[in-house]
Amino acid sequence: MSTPQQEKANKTIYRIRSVVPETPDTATLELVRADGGAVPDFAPGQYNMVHVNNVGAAAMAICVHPDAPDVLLHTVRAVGRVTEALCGLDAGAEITVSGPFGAGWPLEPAEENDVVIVAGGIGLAPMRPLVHALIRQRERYGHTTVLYGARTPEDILYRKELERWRGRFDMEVLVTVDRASRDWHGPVGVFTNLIPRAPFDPYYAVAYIAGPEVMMTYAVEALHRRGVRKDWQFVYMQRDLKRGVREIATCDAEKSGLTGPVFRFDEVEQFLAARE
Amino acid sequence: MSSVDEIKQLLAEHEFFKGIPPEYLARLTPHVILESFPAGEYVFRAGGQATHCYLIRQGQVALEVFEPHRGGSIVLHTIDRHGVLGCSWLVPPYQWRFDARATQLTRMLAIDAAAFRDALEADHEFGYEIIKRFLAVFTGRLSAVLLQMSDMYA
Repeated sequence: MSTPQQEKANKTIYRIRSVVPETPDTATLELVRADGGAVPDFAPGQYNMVHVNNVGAAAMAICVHPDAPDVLLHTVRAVGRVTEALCGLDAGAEITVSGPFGAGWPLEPAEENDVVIVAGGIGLAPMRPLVHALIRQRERYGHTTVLYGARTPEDILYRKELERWRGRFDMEVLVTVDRASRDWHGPVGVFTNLIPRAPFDPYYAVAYIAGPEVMMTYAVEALHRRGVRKDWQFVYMQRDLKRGVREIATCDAEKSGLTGPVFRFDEVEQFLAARE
Repeated sequence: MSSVDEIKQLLAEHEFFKGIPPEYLARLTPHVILESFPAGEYVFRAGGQATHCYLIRQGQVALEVFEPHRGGSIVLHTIDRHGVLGCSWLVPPYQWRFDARATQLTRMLAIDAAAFRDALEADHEFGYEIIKRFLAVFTGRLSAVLLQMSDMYA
């Protein structure tokens, strides 16, 4: 008899409905179940294992669009064998997906508090369902701010969605890039520059952070300097995700006791600073 | 035309001078003018004499470098409200190293550089207080540049 965790690990065939280019090296796969079934429930921040025949598997943050809950979205950046293979697939191709896995973003601490979302690069992918969840029950949360940093304006992920969020009257979206030509009229500079000016009350703010580890470390420090408690900051650990991939791949997920990829910062502070 | 009191008030409100004794601000006030730059206008150009220290009150300025092989200017950094624009006025040869262009209507306090340097030289306590504040600006910018150079999103 299989455990619930093994049950979840059962693989499901999905068909690629379309491949939406996001940036020069990143695309979002829109997937529908080949058997016509529904996308399993998931918590924002959880991930799926996406398998490519004869190549391998990669862990990817789960998202569905609020208007199309039967379409599974996985944003893929072509940086390795599996992700390059995924980016090379066309509409109609079938892939195998298992999940959801891992602990998602905890939303309870944010209730009646301000919310600060800090994302860098492809770190916006696990934030997207979180923002959808916050919007769905907007009245539960205080002032919500999304701070996003990208390498160049061309590398900005979900640009149209960021613009939509920015167009809402109950949410602040600040975007900065590391370098730009003169066509870009927004801020240029490191993402931490956004934190001092972001409109939130640091003493009643919960922060969610995803991106490269060096970026998360600086984000936590900048938020802490502004007054946000470290135990009210949550980080998305890609490194843990990679370890999870290895263990899930060897059918050892249950034994591993992994609780990531989302962690409260003070619980993983030393681990974040450690070299692998 | 702005009165001396208005300028003193605006200096005191700027983040850079936050908490500084009023007598120090009183010394600088006669050497400060208010300047506005519409979007697209250059505040200064690389190679020009650094005659003023600019404190941004409102708007945004892009620091740019002209790169002919890329067909134009590259934006290195933007500075906005409460930021300090340019430090070249503080160290010889007092020449700007980059172009600075307002990317939106930008209002600034412009402090006469020679008078500012004289004031820092004349009173070392005042000078030390100001240099500490500039050092914080420099180190912040240096850390930012190093992070940007690390290409962390790659």
